[in-house]
Amino acid sequence: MINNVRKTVLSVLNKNNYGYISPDDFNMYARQAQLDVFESYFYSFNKAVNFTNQRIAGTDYADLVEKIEQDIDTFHVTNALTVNPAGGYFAPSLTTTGDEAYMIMGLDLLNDAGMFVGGATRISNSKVRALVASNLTAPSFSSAVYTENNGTFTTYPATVGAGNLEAKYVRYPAEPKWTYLSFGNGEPLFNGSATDFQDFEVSPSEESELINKILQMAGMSIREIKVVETADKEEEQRKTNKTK
Amino acid sequence: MAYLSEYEYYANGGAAPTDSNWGEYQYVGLEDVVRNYKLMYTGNTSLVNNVENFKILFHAKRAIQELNYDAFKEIKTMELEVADSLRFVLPLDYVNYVRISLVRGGILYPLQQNTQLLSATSYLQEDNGQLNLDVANGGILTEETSELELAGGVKLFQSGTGSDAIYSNKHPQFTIDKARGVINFTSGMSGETCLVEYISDGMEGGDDSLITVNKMFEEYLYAYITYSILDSKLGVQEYVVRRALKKKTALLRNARIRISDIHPGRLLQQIRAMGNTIK
Repeated sequence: MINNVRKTVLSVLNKNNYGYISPDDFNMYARQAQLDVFESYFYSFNKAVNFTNQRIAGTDYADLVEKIEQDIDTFHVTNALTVNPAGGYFAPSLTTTGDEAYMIMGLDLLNDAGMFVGGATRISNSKVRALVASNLTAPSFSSAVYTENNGTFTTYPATVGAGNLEAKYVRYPAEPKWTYLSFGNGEPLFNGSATDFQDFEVSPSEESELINKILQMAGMSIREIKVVETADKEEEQRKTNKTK
Repeated sequence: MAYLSEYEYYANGGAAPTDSNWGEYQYVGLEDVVRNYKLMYTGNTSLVNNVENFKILFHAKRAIQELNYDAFKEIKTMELEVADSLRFVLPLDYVNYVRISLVRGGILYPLQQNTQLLSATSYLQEDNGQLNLDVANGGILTEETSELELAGGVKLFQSGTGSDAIYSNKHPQFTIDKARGVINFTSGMSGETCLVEYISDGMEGGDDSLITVNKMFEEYLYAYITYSILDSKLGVQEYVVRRALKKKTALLRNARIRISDIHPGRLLQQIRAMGNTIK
């Protein structure tokens, strides 16, 4: 998808000789555009849920909640957490799980045989002491909780064994990278088999959105107000259609 | 909890104790209740949403406690010999008693509680009558067991003639000292075996994995949790709360009828027995 997006962006920019953006600039804009689209999933999801609760959402192909859930589920991962030698477990990160977490959905506790035995839910640091002290809410292996402090999860009870804790979370999308082969002074040629190639991870249905967002940023970069205005208008139109 | 095979049920899969799964099917565990509730009754399109897990757990446990107090027929028993101190320490998970009996020759003799039976804290005194003070802790030194307790308590003086018919009983009597957590008996219980039938709150010493509830009450538990959450949540319409309350109350009534063990055969036997002439 990334090559199509770049070709379209360049096609629009080159029209009337507005300008040109380099592969590095394109990758930078692509990253930002993808993050914008990714974030918008969650706001759209909330809106779709409200529509459903107001009974103005349809089913089957009109089931927006289902569609957005599918889009978000692409980024839903489950990874084992690494023990922090200073106590607790490291939160998902590039160095421990290989990706950054956008939203932690909960932790799963597994027994030695790898079977699910219960979940741990997040609790705010301000409440945890009272929760542990109360007989009726004291966490157990089947109703565990965790707090997050400076990138470290602390579980209650703390007896959960190393390697038996998995985090369920929505990760950030990987940074898109349009890779190319360079031939002297000529136009860089797309190389989809480069080891560091990374396509967009958001749904292909977001291609127009990505093009518009990249065009906005490219238009600002080359100081061409018409490009920004056109992209803005396009994006507004798409947003209106989505919320109708 | 997953369904058990017959081998697991009857013999615990060969592991000891082999009887640990007997009758297990009557009950549903707290963990299952909380898990099922979260799956079926909470969510974006449900009446209950944005509620923390510990709140569900809290209300589930509160519901089980309430059921244990007055709806379940889960009576625990404890048998002990009453020593010369005439004192019986209440069981660890004691909340209230159902019946306290004297066991003699394999027969239970229910004892009567005498609310007029008093016991007292005995303060240590000097010869001149001054109280012995505990200077280090700022209190008064007391005897471990008062003379009244060793004598089985003291009865309130009754004005008028004759004994109080309410407390006329040839067997020993008892009184419960809730503050000290003991049952005090009259002297006739010394060396006798006592059986305490009592109710607990079902919390199984804080081990959530052991807390269970009869399946007859499962739907009531869900209704109780829903009502409790809606009742304490800001902005929930009053009619929604009242609807939840009605559902909870109706389900409790249904469950009580179900668990009351009214069997037609036994009812018939009772009616037949009514016609018998007592000779």
